[in-house]
Amino acid sequence: MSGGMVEKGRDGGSSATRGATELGGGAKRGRERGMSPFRLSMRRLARDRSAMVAAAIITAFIATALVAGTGAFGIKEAATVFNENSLDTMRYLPVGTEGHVLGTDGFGRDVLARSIMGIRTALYLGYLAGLMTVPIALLLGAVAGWYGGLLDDAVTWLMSVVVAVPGILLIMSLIQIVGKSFTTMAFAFAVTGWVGLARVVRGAFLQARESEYVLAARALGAGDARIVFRHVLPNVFHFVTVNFVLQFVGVVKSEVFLAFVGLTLVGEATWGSMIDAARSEVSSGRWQNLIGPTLFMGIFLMAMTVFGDSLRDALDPKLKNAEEVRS
Amino acid sequence: MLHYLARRIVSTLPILLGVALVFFLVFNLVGGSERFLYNILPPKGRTPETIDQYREAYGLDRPVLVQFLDTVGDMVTFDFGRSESTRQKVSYLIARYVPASAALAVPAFVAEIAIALALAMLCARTRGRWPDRLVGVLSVAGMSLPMLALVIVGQRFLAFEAGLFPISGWTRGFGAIRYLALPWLLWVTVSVGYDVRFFRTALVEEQGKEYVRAALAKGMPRRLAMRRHVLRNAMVPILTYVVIQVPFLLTGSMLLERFFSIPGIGELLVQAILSYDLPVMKATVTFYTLFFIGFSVLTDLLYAAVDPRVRLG
Repeated sequence: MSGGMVEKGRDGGSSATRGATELGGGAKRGRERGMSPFRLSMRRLARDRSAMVAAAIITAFIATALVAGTGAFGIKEAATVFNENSLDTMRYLPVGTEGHVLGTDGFGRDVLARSIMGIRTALYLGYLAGLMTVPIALLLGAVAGWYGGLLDDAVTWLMSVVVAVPGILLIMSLIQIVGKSFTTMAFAFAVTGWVGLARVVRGAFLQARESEYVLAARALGAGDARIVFRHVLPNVFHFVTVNFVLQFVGVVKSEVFLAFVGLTLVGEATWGSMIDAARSEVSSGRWQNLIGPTLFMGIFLMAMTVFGDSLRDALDPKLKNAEEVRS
Repeated sequence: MLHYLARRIVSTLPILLGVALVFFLVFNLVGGSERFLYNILPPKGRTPETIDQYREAYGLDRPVLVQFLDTVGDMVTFDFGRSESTRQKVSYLIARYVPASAALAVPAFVAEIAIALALAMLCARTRGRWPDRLVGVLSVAGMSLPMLALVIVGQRFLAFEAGLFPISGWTRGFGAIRYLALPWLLWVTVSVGYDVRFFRTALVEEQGKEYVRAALAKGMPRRLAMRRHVLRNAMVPILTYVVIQVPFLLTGSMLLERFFSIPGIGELLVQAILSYDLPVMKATVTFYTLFFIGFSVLTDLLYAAVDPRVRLG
């Protein structure tokens, strides 16, 4: 949570003196010597308490979503099936009703169950958008940075164009033209969201091209493909991971806006459509559709943000020696 | 300087062309034009004959290349004709809707940055202790909550029940402040978290530099060191961050404009997309693009003015 990076960078300087003065320091260093940078990162992450709490929350959300999707405990049913036990005038059950902790909506559907099913939508959208973004960004960024020249000009031009078009126009138009589906939505988010990552990747490749380790690999006879995949790509890995998490949060939040302008899927349990439905319900004192999804989304995205922060700190190769001080 | 400016202006042309291309692809090749024809006609009027008639009227039966050049021509000359849904001149609509957007975005953005800077300074001073942690948690919470939910709650409790603000509406002139107060408040609540986190990092980083330690060691009061050294040097990344946000202000307020019925450019764009109002869409996109490019150029000029190390060329 603490803006990490900087503090640790600063304390990193003093950790050397600490290691020298403390007796235990030497032994510890020895144990770490054989570890790959990635394992060291994971160790740093595992020692970060807020990251572990966030990871536990995220895992719990994902597990709940997966279990609910199998139809266990009747969650899927309660989220979609009309509740025949309630009379027409009593479909809305307030928060705290027995058997419906978060109440029911205008169709007698359980809000808790729908909020849980909403996790599935969020996960699907977020992951799909991420999975579509990463290859686009990596390919274009790498090609532009590595080969330069005309290709670089073309990609740079494309990036400026995509940024200069209001993203929401592309997203809304694509959904309207191709049709409403979660896949279209994810694709639209990918089409508008790749530029940031591609820029970073391009920069990294541009730098790598001139670097000594690439020269060394080339001198040893490695071809372009081997250098790119084996040597350069692992160096942008942490950008990709962090970008994935950040984009996930952005996508889930954008879905609410799309629901607000009427472009989400009707009838599906999404947090956006629930909050949007609450818009007209709160005036008659019905808060269930607001409370449920807001609670779920707030906790989930908070955990994601915290985890993303810690992940960035842990994966940053410049902070390798800072861990002792932090824990 | 002039040379640079001229080159930048020339270099915006391919971008504008690209935007026209994207726009054109989305609406004419992916099937948008058929949808467009379908949607501008009332259900009873959707016979093959009338659709053909309209296709001809809008020039959608011409060769694709001609249509594309036509779109580019519209964008370059700012001549977009009349809106499909209101029959008003598009240029008139743009001129009418932009001030409302500016009235919403500019004060809100200024307040957001000022509050964020104050909070970030508090965090930097109390690093690791409870005020810092509290602000950190609240920032993440603000970033994670759906804006729509906050808007609903704000309108319900602050406007309706407490009666502090009008629920929604709009007037021209200074009377609009009444209607803008709640949107401003919500804007700041939602966006301040991102800024605080960034500003805090910038300040803390600067605070840890050797020269600050040296200044403190020779007996400079912490407050003075903060103001004279840390804040000034941290301003470089902070200013960069602020300036980068500006081009996005126009669309950042779309939800607020729509929810509180503020007649702004974001609202105009959303309405145009939802009602397939092609001329208005073209116009808003062109306006947005030019605004964006213009501000990018301005940013570069500003850098050169602020940071003597930056040279344009």
